[in-house]
Amino acid sequence: MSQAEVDDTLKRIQEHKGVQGFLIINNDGIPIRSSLDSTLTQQYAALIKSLSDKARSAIRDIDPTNELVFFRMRTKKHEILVAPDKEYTMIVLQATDAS
Amino acid sequence: MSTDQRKRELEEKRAKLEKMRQEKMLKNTPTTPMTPGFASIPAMTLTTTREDADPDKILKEVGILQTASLPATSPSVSPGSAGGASASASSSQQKRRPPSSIALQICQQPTATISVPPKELVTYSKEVQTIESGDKDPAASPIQHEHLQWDDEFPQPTAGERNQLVYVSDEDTMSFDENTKPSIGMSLASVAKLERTRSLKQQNKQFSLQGQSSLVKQELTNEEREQIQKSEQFQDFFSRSARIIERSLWESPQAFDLFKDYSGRESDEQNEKMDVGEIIKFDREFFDERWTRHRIVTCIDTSTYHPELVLASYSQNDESTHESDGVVLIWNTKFKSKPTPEYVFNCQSWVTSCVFSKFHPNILLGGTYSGQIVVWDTRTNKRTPVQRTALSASSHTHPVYCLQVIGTQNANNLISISNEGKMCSWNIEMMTQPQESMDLAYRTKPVAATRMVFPGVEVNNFVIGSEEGQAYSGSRHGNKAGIQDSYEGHFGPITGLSCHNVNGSVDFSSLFLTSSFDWSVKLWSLKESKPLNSFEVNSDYVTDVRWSPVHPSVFLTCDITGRFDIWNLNHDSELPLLSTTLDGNVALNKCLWSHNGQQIILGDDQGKLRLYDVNEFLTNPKQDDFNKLSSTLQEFKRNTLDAFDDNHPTSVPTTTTAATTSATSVSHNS
Repeated sequence: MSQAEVDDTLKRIQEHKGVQGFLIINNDGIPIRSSLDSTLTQQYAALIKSLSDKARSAIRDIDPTNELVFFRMRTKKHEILVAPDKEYTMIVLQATDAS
Repeated sequence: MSTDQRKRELEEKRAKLEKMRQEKMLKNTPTTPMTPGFASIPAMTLTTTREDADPDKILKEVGILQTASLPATSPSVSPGSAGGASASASSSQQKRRPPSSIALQICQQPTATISVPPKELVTYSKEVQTIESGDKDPAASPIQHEHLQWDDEFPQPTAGERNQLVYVSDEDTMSFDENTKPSIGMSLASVAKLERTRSLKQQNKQFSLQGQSSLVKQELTNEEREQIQKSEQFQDFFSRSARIIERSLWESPQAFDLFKDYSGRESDEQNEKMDVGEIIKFDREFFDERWTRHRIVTCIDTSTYHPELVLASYSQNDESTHESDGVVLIWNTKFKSKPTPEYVFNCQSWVTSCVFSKFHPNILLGGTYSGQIVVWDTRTNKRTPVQRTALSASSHTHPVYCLQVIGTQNANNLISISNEGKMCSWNIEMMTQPQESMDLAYRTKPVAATRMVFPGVEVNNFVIGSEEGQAYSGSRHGNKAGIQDSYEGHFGPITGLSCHNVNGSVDFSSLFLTSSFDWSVKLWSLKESKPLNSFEVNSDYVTDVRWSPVHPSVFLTCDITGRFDIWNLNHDSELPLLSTTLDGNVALNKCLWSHNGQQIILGDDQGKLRLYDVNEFLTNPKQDDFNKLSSTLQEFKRNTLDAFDDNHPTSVPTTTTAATTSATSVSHNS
């Protein structure tokens, strides 16, 4: 997958109905790529990262052979889709009102 | 002149003197209200202004004062003073005597100087309190503590305020005034964090430190970000997560509806219920703007490992030359709304046939127009083939129209056949050279094969359709390796070939269907060189025919006018059960049943794949369907023989014998 395809896919994701933004962060919580403004990016990066870490450790505590693959948080206003990975995490915000 | 007068004068002057002394004291120490001397001094209004107006008097009084304050030093008042008498009279009041001579001796008098530093105005405001940076008592609020570390870490971008710390008071919410906001800048975010998770101060500390350190790093790594994005690991991660995210994005509208709207769910269920009378129902179509526009669907396959995956190969795109010629896409039928393919693969020349490897879950194989066979692997992130056969005389040099994987898990081969009549068998692990190759020729004439099928789980015997219109059967190994029988009947190239493959009470595995450009579909048996039946309801090239994998008497055909038919031989052997023509100027090129026989997939010449759900009665055969089919076949045989007789009339007496012989032959065959 080349850089252009990465960009293409991200653009497609962003233009999806209801998507308010996306964010890719690395393991230290540093945003690598984001479509949100810098304040929100920082907020989401740190908060969601910590939540994701907590969730991951919770799953592993319950069952050491298990691991967290994906989680969504549906709130009144948005749905936050989080795909954590070994080195990076991808976060997408989708509005729930649109659908 | 009288002593009384003088006494009164003296008294007055004494009082004035006292006043002056006090004023002088006041002037010397204006800002120290704590001076003990003042305590005793009664509050006095400054009357210096009045006396200032009279310098002479001041001088005198100063002189007097001076003399008074230092009784030790006796001012040398000129003895020639006129008031000598008075001076002598009041030696103790020497101070009061205004000296006639102005020549005063002013002596230096060291005054005690107390320097007090300017008092610091400590102002407390609810909102902002500035605190000196430096070592503070760690027992103090940890927030402050971390702020100190903050300061140490990065230089303040804005000038002016050295100590920029924000104290979050416990009771109040934070408020910023305009002055502090710009200086705080990006730390707003982390401060906001603090506000929220105030109870977990230690964690806060870590977070804000982290946040701060990340802020620092972020400012520096714009280039690093680019690098990261180009890195292998990132691409890996991205392709996985983007797929998951896209699927969930596309699914969430429906999922969300289910969540919220109970009545919505009910209506969904109703919609999903198919009408019993409806034979097929349109499910969805697969089309990708970039990859499939202006391309013809050349081959479709479904995976045995993941039945929801559909593989489709496409011809080259004449409209755009910069896109690669060979495109193969994997679509996912499970996710109803996601319009993009799961995987996209490319190669150099356009793919004429493609197949999932039956025994390797991630391998796809494609035969191309150039004669190369390419192998793709879904495990890698590459879109280009991981293996390619050499373009040499030992392998194919003509378009590879058919690929099939035969054998078992442990011993499997890929069989490929090309237009020049060459059949090669390959080992998927090693594609540099075919394991064996065979030139197919029927009576010394090479067979230009367009279709090839190994019936059932056969590994040796196969059936081939050719460009001239004949079908051939042959075997790979054995005494008679090569083409054995030919089946003549079609007048045009054979476009579709399908062997019966339903396991049931009766074995129909010798049946196969062929479709051809001669507008007809023919049913054959391997044992007969003449077709059992011919279906001629089409009025144009028939492009494909497929038996249903689950129902013995059902098959599907499609033709170039966009018409596709579903036939049920038990129902009617003359007319299709269902005949539908697609709208628009579409030509169908390929058709396929899903493995469970519940869906049909049609590929057209505009790059679209259409999926239809097939009604249950076509997917669940009943026991007597098999028996019915046998009797239908009998009927076919009888019909053909009758036709044969009709076409070849003989003399009257021999017709009877011919009839009897045909009767006997019928009974013989059945």
